[in-house]
Formats: sequence, structure tokens, C-alpha cells
Amino acid sequence: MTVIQLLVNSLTLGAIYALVALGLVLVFKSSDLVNFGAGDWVLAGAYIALALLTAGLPLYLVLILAPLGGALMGLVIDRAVFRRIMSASPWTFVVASLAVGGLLRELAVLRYQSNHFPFPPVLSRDPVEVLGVRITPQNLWVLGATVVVVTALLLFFRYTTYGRALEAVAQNRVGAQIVGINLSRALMVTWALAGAVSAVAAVLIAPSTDVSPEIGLLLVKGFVAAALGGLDSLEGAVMGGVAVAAIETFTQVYLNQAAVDVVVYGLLLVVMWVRPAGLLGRRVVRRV
Amino acid sequence: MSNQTAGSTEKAPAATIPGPAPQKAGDGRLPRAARAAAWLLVGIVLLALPLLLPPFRTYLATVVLVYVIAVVGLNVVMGFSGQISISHAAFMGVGAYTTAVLMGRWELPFPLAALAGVLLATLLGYVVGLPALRIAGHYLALATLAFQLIVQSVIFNWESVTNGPRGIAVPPAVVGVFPLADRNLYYLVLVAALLSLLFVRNVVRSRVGRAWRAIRDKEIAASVFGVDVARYKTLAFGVSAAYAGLAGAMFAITVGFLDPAAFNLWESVKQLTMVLFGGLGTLVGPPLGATLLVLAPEFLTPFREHSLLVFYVVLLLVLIFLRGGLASGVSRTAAWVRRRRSGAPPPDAAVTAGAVTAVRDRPAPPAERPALTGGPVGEPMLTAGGVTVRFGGLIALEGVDLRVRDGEIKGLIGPNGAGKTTLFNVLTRVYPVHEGSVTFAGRDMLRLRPHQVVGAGLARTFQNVEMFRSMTALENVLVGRHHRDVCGLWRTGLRLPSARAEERRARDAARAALATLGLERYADTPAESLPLGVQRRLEIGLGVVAEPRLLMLDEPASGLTAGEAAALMDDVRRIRAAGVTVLLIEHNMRFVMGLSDSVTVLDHGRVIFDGSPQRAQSDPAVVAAYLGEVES
Amino acid sequence: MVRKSVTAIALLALALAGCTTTSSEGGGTQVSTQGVTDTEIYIQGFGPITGPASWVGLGNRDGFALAVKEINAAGGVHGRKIRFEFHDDAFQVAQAQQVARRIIQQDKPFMVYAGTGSTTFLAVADQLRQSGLPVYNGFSGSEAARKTPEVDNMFHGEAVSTKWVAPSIADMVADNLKATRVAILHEDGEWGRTLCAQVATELQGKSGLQVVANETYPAAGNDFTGQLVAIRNANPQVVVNCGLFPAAKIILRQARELGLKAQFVGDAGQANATVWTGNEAAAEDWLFNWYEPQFLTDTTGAQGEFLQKYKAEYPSAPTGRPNHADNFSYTAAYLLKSALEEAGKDLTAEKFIEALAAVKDARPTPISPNVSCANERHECFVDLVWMRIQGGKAVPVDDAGLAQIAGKVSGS
Repeated sequence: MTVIQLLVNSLTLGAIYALVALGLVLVFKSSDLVNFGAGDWVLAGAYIALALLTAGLPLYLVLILAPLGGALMGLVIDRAVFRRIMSASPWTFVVASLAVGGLLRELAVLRYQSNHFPFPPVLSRDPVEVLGVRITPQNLWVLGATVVVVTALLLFFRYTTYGRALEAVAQNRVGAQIVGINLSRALMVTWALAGAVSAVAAVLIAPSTDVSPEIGLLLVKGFVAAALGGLDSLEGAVMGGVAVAAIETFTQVYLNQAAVDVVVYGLLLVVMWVRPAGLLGRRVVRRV
Repeated sequence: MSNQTAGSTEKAPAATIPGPAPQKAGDGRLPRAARAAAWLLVGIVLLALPLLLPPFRTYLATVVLVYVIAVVGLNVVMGFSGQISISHAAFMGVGAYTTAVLMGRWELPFPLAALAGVLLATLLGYVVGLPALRIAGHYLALATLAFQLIVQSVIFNWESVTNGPRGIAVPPAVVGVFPLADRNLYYLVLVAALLSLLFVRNVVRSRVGRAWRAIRDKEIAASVFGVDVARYKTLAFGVSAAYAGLAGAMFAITVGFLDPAAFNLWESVKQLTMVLFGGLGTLVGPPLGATLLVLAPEFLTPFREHSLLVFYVVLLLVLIFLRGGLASGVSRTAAWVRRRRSGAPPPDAAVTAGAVTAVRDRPAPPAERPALTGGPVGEPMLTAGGVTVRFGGLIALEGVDLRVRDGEIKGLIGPNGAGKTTLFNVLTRVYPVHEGSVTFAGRDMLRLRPHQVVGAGLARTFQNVEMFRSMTALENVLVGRHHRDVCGLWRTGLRLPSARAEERRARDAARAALATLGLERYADTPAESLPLGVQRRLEIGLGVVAEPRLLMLDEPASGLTAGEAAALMDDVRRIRAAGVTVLLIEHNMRFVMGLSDSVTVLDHGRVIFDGSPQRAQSDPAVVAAYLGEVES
Repeated sequence: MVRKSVTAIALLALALAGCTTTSSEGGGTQVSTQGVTDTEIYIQGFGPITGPASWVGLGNRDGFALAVKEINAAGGVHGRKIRFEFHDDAFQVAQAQQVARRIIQQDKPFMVYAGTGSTTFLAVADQLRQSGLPVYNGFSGSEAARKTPEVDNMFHGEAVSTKWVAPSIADMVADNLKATRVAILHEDGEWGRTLCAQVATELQGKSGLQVVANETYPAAGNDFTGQLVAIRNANPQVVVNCGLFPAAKIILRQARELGLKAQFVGDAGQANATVWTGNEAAAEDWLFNWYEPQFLTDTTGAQGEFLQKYKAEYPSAPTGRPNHADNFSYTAAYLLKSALEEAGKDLTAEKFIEALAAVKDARPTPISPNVSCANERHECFVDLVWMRIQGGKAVPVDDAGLAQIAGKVSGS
């Protein structure tokens, strides 16, 4: 029973990692860029939601408006920064995305300092017992919502013209332009989408983590999750998140806390070595 | 995409491109005496600093120098060899903790403890470099990230050795009777930093540095020209980690207290930022970036709790408006000032004008070797038999036979997708072969690794000019010499006489090759700012200077004007006249038929014809293949 | 290649040399009236005001500054105004080193107020001791940062050392709650590790008591299921948690979700309204260490007046402020002021240290606990009280409350 209980709980943690990973994968999938500030995008989404909440809006309205705010944020960041460095070296983008993340965090700190703010859950946190396993409706909501978000994104990329166009842009920017894809607009959509998904992740995560500058630290776990699953695979991000959470939980219980990081990151190294594109990734790593 | 990037900062075209009246190397720089004076001034200021500064400022300057050592090393991996590393702070931590623990627990003297720290960091650097053999770009970034996180976790949790989160005090270091503190320490770190910088400067300007930059610019081309990519990548990681280890040892005795957070992921990111902020792939940029970032808290004190906000804004502004970092800002300003003073036209005009004159002014080709109008010339030099290559279910080559005789010019033609370039890639070991054999001058080519091919006497060019774009024409050609020379990291870094002599010889040969092609005026121009025609010829020059017995050219005439193509035909004849056999892929029929002694025609991965050019033009199978292409 | 950018190197050298422009005179021996003029007493503080730990430095800075403003408005000390400056150490050791050197070697104040966490304070503590400057450690509770006996010029305020916190917790668990099966749960940072190691030692001395589980968790974690399930399986009556408030909140919530019904006991590092705000059900009856006389969020009495003064001075202060660093640095400033007054008109560091070391049973402010610096460890605060959460509010725990909780413990 203990094992099942641990699995169920690690699933909720896995969903949190997966939600952060989704922002990363989404951007990589549609622009071939890695947003090293992705953790802070989620953080920004959480503060947007917090601001709306403290302005007195009801929770359901916050859940609707926060993703819109996130999309707007994505658009502004694209216009103000990313657009201007597209032609520079990809490492410039690495540092720029970090700097944008830092800036978002500091803007939040400017207003809210490093305090922790509670964020209301959508459903009850009183546990229900099912076959000896305890789970809360709120956790079920997070799991369900994560599945819905991933499915929606998968459908978007697989079945809409625009989604496929975005993926084409990532794989071959010049080629995509030749077949008539508006590159500028594609990137705009990517960043707006990334902002919206970050905000969705934020409102799902915030009830369990509180709203604080430390949300940005989730980036590291999101990264590991995304890399394990494959940087370009949405399903992989979810699977990676769940896997990382499960490994963490079980290493902690059956080995010890000090070994957790070494095991998780060691595993990532092994995967990078054996199967660099990740477990579900498809992208060819090196083109000749 | 990742290739075009890094180096372009190093020499903004504006700064190095000669004007319409080309001058000697060194054009656009300060005169030698002025440069010497500037260095002297810098030296005096650095030496006098602790005498001028109060103790606290001396400490700050020492910390700056510690980070200078670290980022100079990081720049080797990122700036010069083009690999990404998000684990530099981890290496620094390994160096620092090793030093501190050995000094504290085993009471080892500082120099020994530091040496152990550097060695351990270097060893780990090689290990971390291993994934770079298989993966690149973002994936490599993730692998180094994982390593960083493992190291920081070990430092944090290995309490019995590192004292865990509590941190560890470093005992005061004494060498002989000199306590390593304050001024003494400053001078020690200064010497270490200057030597570190000098060593990297020497290496970067040598064969080793060119190999790194070639990998950065175009990995496959580098390997084809004889650079052992695997070895040089891990070497770069090793060197970089050694620098980080040294910086860590210096950090330990400078700051005097270590805790895990001093070497965490964000510290790695900070060092990465220092390099980019200062100027990736330049020598002065990273030290400049380290200086400003270490001193940033001092500068930002007035902003109090908003200092990070200000910092990120400034960082973004620099990234947006000063692409190549601060170093490029400095050199761009300098170039602008010089242009204003000399009234020279902007660089693009200068290059184009130069290109036109270059083609016009070239010497006439030497007389043809009389015997070369027809048939086979000598013994078979290259023999490929029954070569089959598959990509998944797709058969790219099927039982291809090819024979190139010593001294001939052989044409390899066929419609698009016939497998010509694939065959080139097979011959140079870029692609694996599923069946068949390749023998070259009596050697089994299939036993060689890609970088050994050129040493065996086989050089090639690429269909889409694969130049080392950020390197100058001369440096490009020098890469072609790579496989002939031997001096490695230590000899070039220390500028030993053997390395200097070798470098001199290589440069003479490279200049001679440029002269043969009439390109000497572009010697110091970055390849990326040369017109396509010049780039093509330069790439051939690269092939020539490798002194191969067989030179393989992949569509050398594509994209050239009629005049340029004619000049190129002369070049190819001249190469053959020098005793080099040529294998040529070309679509330009006039070009290939005019040059070749014999041709082989490929279609759908099979040989459909082998014989003289004249016969090929009337061969029904060949005609059908080409007509078929027209129809489809 | 790069030779052309000699200019850049010159710039680098200039940047280094540029440091000289604002430098003050170097060298000079320690003068005990350093930082004191006819009109001014110069005090410098440091702590993290950027980064995740910025609540520590901001609280220490703003609480202290508020007191200084009041003191100056009331005429200062013997006609001298206090000048207070605060430096950012970002909770990073290297930067703390930089700041400490700057204070000792360059800025040369009369005294130093350290408003920083344990790791950073530990990194500079010896340097500060050797400087001879009067130093008041206002926030680090690390036992490793203390000396027995302490050197003359070093004093410790809040947080109380683990040396005193551990017995307080052990006594609560064994003597008041009369628990026989106890689980220990602690963060992997310096504070939690040290504290719970000492708690474990103390508990060993209690007869009839068994430590049934000892689990570690990452300080910045979001999920403690593994630890809590392991503890649940060990079936303890009481769980002692050593760590900080963000984790404490999640731990209480997840314990409830997992059906772990044991009584939780925490140290003062977790005494933050965040733990029970929006988490009332899970935090009900939680016991934690605090200081008399009132809890931070108490809007009545002296604490209520302090809150009003604070909001008037910092109208844009966000929720969560004043935090306990604000509260204690405010008191610390008044404690230091009283010692400055006691040291007399002819102020020297020696006289000030003597005066501070003689403070006994004082209450520098109405919100202050009992303060006595007159001990060989120079620890000005050592008294702890216990609080519980009742109906979503922090209230002092009285005998009846204790009996009620003890009853629950023995019943489980």
C-alpha cells in the first residue's frame, strides 16, 4: 500500500514538473530555442494570477484571465527582447532568456518582495480514501488539468495548420519561410502560447507551492523532466516529469535524501549519453 | 545554425578588412610601438594597483583576477571550440574544495594542494567532455548541467569531507615566509591570471587554436581536413576545467571560506554571462566581463534591493545593442574612429572591389601538360568496389565501382540525387559503408577515422562552401596544414622554439598557396565576408595546402559567374600540373567536360557509365538519365 | 586578431584603477573612537536584500532603520545622531566576505549590525571578531557562530542558538507532551541539520522515549511525501520539524493529506503566518517556538502599536511585513541605543562594549522579550515560549491548552 500511496503522490509532483517542462518543450518544438528563463515565466504567471486575485476577482475569472495575461507577457517579451536578438548567436539567446527570467523575477520582487503568498485551491484538500490510498480532489484536479493541457497542445501541433507550421519553423527556419510561413508571426504565436501555458501551469502549481520567487527554481526539475522525455516531445515532458518525481520519491524513501540529486541527474547523464534525443524525442541530434 | 555564431564577434569584419589598397598584415591595428606602449601601461597599472589601492580595493581586484582565470578557461570551451558548458562553477568548486580540504585536513602546503585541485578538475573536465563526442548544442548543455548539479549535490551532502552546508574555512596560506594575503596574494593571482591569458592567447593563435575554431565553425569540414574532433573537443573541456580548478584554488585562499552555494548552477550561469557580456571568443572580452560582473555589486550599491533589477536591464541592453559583447563595442568604436580618420569606404565595398581586381589580375595559367587531353594517365590511385550505403530503407549507393588513376582529372556526374556527394562522404569516411571496399594508394580507407583521411593523401571541398567562416583566409588555409604538423597544447602554449618554427613554416606554405590562387590580399579577411567566388577558390586553396595526392571538388563552379568559372578551370589545371589528381563533381557540363580526362556517371545510386567525356555525351543511358531528370 | 583591441585591455585596467576614485585612506590602526564624531555615530549593517533570502536582510534593515529614525527624531544619543547604512550580501559567502572587508577596511564604522543568515554570518564571523569592532549578530542562530566564552566585541541577539532551542523542544516533547514515540524531520540546510542533531541528542537523555524515524528533506522542496509516508509507517505520536517556514507549511498540509495524525512541533524558524494562512485546517494545534511577549501578527497592545508605526513608515510594505527580522532588529537598535547612552558622552568602543555586556533584564522596547547580554557567551536573548495555532490564529499556549494537546498525543 505504501508503494501505491507513494506513486500516487509522486504523480502530483510529477504533474508540477511536467507543467514547467511543457513551457520549455513548447518553445523548443516550435522555435528550436531553449528558454532558460522558463521557470520564471511560470513565476510571472503566478504573480499575474496573484495580482488578479488580490484585486478582488473571483477564482474562476482569475483562472481564465491569467493565461491571457501570460500570453500578453509573451508578446511583450518577444517584441522587446527576443525579436531583437534572433540573428545573434544562440548563446546570446541562452543568456538573454536567463536575463528575461531574472527580470521577471525581480519585477515580481519589486512589488511583493520575497514573501510567500497562499493561493487558493480549486477543489477541496480534504483527502478521500480510495482502496486504502489517500488522495485529495485538488490533486486530482491538477492531474486532470495537466492531461487536458497536454492533450490540447498535442492536438494543436498535430492537427492544426498553424501547429504544424510552428514545428516546421523549428526544424528549418529558412525552408519554412520559403513555403510561405510568416516567420515573425510564427515566433509571436510561439511566445504568446508559451506565456499562456506558463500561466496555466502557474495557477495549477501555486496552490501547492505558494506564490514566491522560489517557483523559478522549479526550472531545474522541469529541465531534467524535459530532457529525459525528449526536448521536442510534449508527451515526453509529462512522462519525464512523472519519472523524475517517482525516482526522487523512491530514492528518498529507499535510499536517502542525500542520494536523490545524484541519482536523478546521474540518470539524466546516462540518458544523454545513450539516447541524446531523450526517451520520446524524435529530433535528430546531429545533422550532416 | 549554431555554427555561424560564436566567432563572428571575434573579428567584426569592419576591423580587419583591408581597404582598397591592401596593406601588410597588421592593417587596421595600432602601430607596433603603440601597442607595446599600451601593454606596458597596462602592466604598470596592474603592478602598481595594490600600492595605489587601499586593502579592500586590492581584495576586490584579486577577486576580479580569480574570475578572470575562470572565464578565460570557459572561453576556451565556449568561445573558441564552440561547445557549451554550464558546469564551470562545478569545476571551480572541485578545485577550491580540494585545495581547502588538503590544506586544512592534511596540512599540505598551498602549491601542492592547488596542484591536486587543478589535476582533479582537469580529469573531471575530460570526463564531462566525453558526451561532447556524441552530442552538441542544447543536448550538450543539458549534459553539463546534469554534471553541475551532481557536483553541487556531492559538495552539499558529503558532510564528512566538505562540511556540507555549513561551509569550510580555508587555513591561511603561507609559501616559505610569505603569507599569501593582501598584496602578496594579489601579485600571485595576477601572475597566474597573466600567464593563463598568455597561454590561451598562444594556443589560440596556433595550430591547436585553429583546430578548435575550425570545429566551432564547421565540425565536419574540420574533421575532413584532419582535425581529430573528438580529441580536440575533450582537450578543450580539459583545458577549461584546469583553468576553473586553478581559479577555484585561488578563490579558496582569496575568499578564505567556501560554501556549496559559491559553486552552484547560478554561479556557472554567472560565468557564462561574464563571457558573453565581455565578448565570446575574444581574448580581452571575458576578462572585461569578469571585471564588470564581479564589481557589479559595488557599482549597483546605490540601487539597494533593486540592484538585480538594474543588472538584468543592463545585461539585456548589452545583449540587444552590443551583439559581440563589450569587446566588440570597443573594437567597433576603434574601427569607426579609424575609418573616420582615413576616409576609407565601408568594408563591404572594399571587399567586392578587391574581388573583382583579384580575378582580373591573376597570372595566366601555365602551359598544359601535353599528354593530358585523353585517356588514363597512370596507375589506379583510388579504387572503390561495390560500395553500398543505405539510410534506413533508402538505398543511396548500390554496388558503386569507381577508379581514379594517378594524375588524371576525373569527372563524377549525374542528375540530382544520384549519390555523388554521398560517394564523396563515403570516400572521406563521413558516412559509414554497409558493403564494399575503398582502397587509396594501397591503403584500406575503411579502416581510417575521418580525420585520418587527409593524412592518407585525400582532401576534398564541399558542395555548399564549408569555410571556417569566422577565421581569416590565411587561417582557413592553415587548417589545411593541420594534419602535417605535430605541435600540441604545451608546445604551442609555451611557444617553444619547435612550435614557432613549425608555425612559421606553415604560414609560409599557406601564404604561398594563397599567392598561387591570387588571394594573398585577403589573407587577413574573415572568410564570411568574402564573395562566394573567392570563398570557392579559398576552399580549393585549403585542399591544395593539405598537399593531397587526390583532391576531390564538390560542385566547385556552382554559383560562379562565367568569368569566375573560367578562372577556376585554370586553377584546377594548375593543381593537376602540380601533380595532384583531381576528382570532380560538377553540374556545369562545359566545365566538367572541358576539364575531365574521364567521367563516371551515377544515377539512382548506380554507375551507369564510365569512360571518356566525349563518349559520355552520346551514351544512351546517360542521355536518358539526364532527359529523365528534365521530364520529371 | 585581438591585438587591435588594446583599447579594451586599457579599459579593463582603468576599471580596476577606477576603484581608486572612491577609496578612502588606506591602512591605519584601529582607533576606538572610529566612526564617532561630535554629531554622529556611524553604524553599518549587512544582510541579504536581494535573492530568495531577501526577507531576512530587508527585515533587519527596515526594522533597525525605523528605530534609528525614531531615536534621531528624539534627539539621538548624547546629542549625536545615528547614521545607519546597510549592505547587501545576497546570502552568498563570497559577497559577504566582500562586504565584511569593505566594512572593516574601508568604511570603518563605529559598530556592525549583522542581519544575515547563518552561512554568511559564519563565513565572516571570525573576521569580524578580529576586527575589534563591536558586532551585534542580530539573526544567526547557528551554534557554530558562537564561542564560549565569546570574545569581548561580539554579541548575539535573535535567533536563539540551537544550544537553547534544542532542550526547549526536547522538554516540550518529553516532559509536557509526554510522548514516547517521536519522529524527527529536518531540512538539509545548516540550521535544520544542527538543530535536529541536538534535539536527537537531548531526546536520548529522556527515559521511556524512542526516536522512531529520522528523515531529511531538501529546504527548497515542494513535496515531502516520501519522508511523511516513512514517518507515518513508523507511527510516532510527535513529529519534530527543524527547518524554515516555506517547507513547514507544505509539510503540515501533506501530512494531513496522507492521514499522518501525529502532533507537529516546530522551531522559531517556522514562526511565520504563511504556515497557517490558507492552511488553517492542517495547521490547527501546531506547536512552535516563539519569544515573549506577543506574536508578530497580534494587532493588540504594544505589537499593535508597532504595526501601526511600521505601516506609517513603510506604507508600501507588502503582506508578510513586518516579519520577525523587522521586529527584532527594531528592538536590537533600541538595545544598542541604551548601551550607547550608558557608555557616556565620551564614547569609545571599549566603553560601549562594557555597557552592552552589562545589560541585564532589560526591555529596550515594549515589544521586546527580556534581554540580558551579561553572560560569558554574550547571548542577549535566550528565552523561548511556545505558541499554538488555534482557530487559524497564533496564540500562546497555556497549561490547559498544553494538557489538551498532551491528551491527544497520549491517545494516539
